Amino acid sequence: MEIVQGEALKAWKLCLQRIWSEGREFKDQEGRICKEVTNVMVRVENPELGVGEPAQWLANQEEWVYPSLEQINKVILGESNSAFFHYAYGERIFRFQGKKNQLQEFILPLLSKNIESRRALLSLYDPIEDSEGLKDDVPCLVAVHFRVIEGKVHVSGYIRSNDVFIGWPANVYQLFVLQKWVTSKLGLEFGSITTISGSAHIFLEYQEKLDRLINVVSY
Amino acid sequence: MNEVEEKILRKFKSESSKDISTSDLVQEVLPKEYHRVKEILLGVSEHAQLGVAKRRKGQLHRRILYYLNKLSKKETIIQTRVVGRGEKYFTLNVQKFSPNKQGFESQSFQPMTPIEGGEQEGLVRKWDKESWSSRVNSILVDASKFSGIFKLQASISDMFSELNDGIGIYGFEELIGQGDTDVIGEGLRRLDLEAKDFNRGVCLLVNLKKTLHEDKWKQFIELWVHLKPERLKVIWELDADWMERHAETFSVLLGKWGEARLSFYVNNTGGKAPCFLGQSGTYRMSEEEWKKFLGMKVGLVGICSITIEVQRFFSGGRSYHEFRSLVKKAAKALFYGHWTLREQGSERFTSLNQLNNSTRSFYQLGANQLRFEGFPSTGKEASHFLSLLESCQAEVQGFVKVQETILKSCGMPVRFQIALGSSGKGETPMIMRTADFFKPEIQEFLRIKERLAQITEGREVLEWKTLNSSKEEWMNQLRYILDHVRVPFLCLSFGEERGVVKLTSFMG
Repeated sequence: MEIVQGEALKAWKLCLQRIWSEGREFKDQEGRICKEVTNVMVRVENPELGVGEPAQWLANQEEWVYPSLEQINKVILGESNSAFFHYAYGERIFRFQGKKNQLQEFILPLLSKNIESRRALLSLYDPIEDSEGLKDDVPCLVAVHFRVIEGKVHVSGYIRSNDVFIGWPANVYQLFVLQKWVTSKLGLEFGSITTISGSAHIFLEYQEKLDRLINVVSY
Repeated sequence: MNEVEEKILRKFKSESSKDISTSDLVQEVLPKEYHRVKEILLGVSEHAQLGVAKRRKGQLHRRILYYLNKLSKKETIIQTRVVGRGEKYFTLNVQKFSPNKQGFESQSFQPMTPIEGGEQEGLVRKWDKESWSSRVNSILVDASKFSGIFKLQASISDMFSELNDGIGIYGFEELIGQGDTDVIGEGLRRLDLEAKDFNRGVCLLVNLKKTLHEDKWKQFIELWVHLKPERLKVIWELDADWMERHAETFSVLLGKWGEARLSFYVNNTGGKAPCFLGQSGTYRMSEEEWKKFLGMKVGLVGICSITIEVQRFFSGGRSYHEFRSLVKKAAKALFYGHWTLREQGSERFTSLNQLNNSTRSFYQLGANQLRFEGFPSTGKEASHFLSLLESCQAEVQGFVKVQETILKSCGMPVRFQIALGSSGKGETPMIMRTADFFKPEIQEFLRIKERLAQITEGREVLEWKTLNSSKEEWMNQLRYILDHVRVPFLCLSFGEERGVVKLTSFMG
């Protein structure tokens, strides 16, 4: 499945609708039923135009507490080895295995030296720590690729397991935060953001909220 | 920060340019105790009493000096001089210390919560309001991982300032078995004093089945009955079988306890997670947490706590729907508190973190407590309320699940759990003889307690007061409850014997 839209909100809604209508039903390990499509690609052409809107819509719902854009920002750029989370994206980016700052020490020098490089990949998955069968939590966003084309920084993120309703809005915003960081350091422009979801799914229990989103929020 | 420590600092802050003597600080920080001693010193002529008062005065000085030395080690204050027969003077270290720095007064960030209206109406309360989102409620400590009572007591003293309610000390029988009774006594005396200073509760969990030396625990009982610590409680782990097999020696224990009018707490959990008490109610790990805890030195049990006053809520003519809505708001408030608390966790809870090898393993445990108080315990109302509680439990767990999914999906995996429980301030039936348990109203009370214990996964105490003075009768009552009632946490308290007791008159 491939979805290309200018704005994040439109891309999100379209993706949800298509998974809902085309997805196959399956039960996860906790017994929750969801609809799933594998290898879904969503491209947001103009992330600067309201990339945070899907997350903000979720944050406005009464039923739960959704993290604010500031909190999402803090997590992806947080360098500390915080005991707060079981694992933390920021820690994986800025202190991989306790030592490697992937953005400062690799992505930035690499793209500064060779703007056309295709090697600008940062990994959030740590095989040493995460490839243990019984671990409760391992990262969903596992790799981020930066590619500069004609002065624009395009970002792609691979998400191995993606709750598209609840998780994708935060993921696309996290990719935007990283894109902004690299763009500002290199003095370049914003390109597109692409997510590739290995398992893109929606839990059936969200149906009512999904209807609310589809019906209330217009394009 | 400890209350005494806070008072000392406040005094230094108010007179930041002066050096202050230990005597002045005793008067300022412990005024009641000081005046009591002074009255004795001024009023008595008997040499013996004078000696007692002088010793008491010395104790007050040493107590203050303990905190002064602690502050001095942290370089918050500096010793300036020693006058006369060794009286020390101190002053605030203004170079290192400014009132705006963290640690002077606990001005922690308090998140806005959706229950503030309910709080103003007296329908909901946080425990404890001041430190709700800056200190965790309670922890469980494994005594066997400490090399003696003094090591344990010193570690717990450090932990007090990071908690706001209670501590359970699991496996205390190990220390009873190993230590000299006098040493145990001194350790407990110090622990009780510290617990009083910090206004905390400590429960010693003693597994009678593991206590091999009968003479050791008999000495311990004598010691306890003599000490009667104010802030410490013993909770005995035992079951009906063990009690039968050791009836003779057990009757000695129960007899001493009853004669001293000390409440007899029992964990009848069959080796599962033990229960213990804090001031806000009962604490118990889930079985999954308990398995993780075994092997750890200290485990988080209670994180944030909110209590809903049921009777007051419904006396205002409110509906079940409104109650559910309040429960949901309380669950959300617990999420905000939990988040705020954990965000500061790695910096704030240094004593607790240091005790385990990994900070992360400490945060793998613990639940937020949603407690209920003042609900009916007999009649149709009680049954209806429990059905309501069951449906609320399902909704709360649904909320917890969604929150965990949201955080995980957003790349912020945080463990968030809510445990339902009661505040433990329910009705207590009065029982004269074991046969009273067969009365319909008591049977109904016991069945309601069983159901409540099931809903709350054992975070409920079944308490009854015996009005009988016979040791055999106490044994029989306890035996009956252990055999016939499926509540894991029990409390037998001892009242005065009366003539004819009409049971129903004590209910409600």
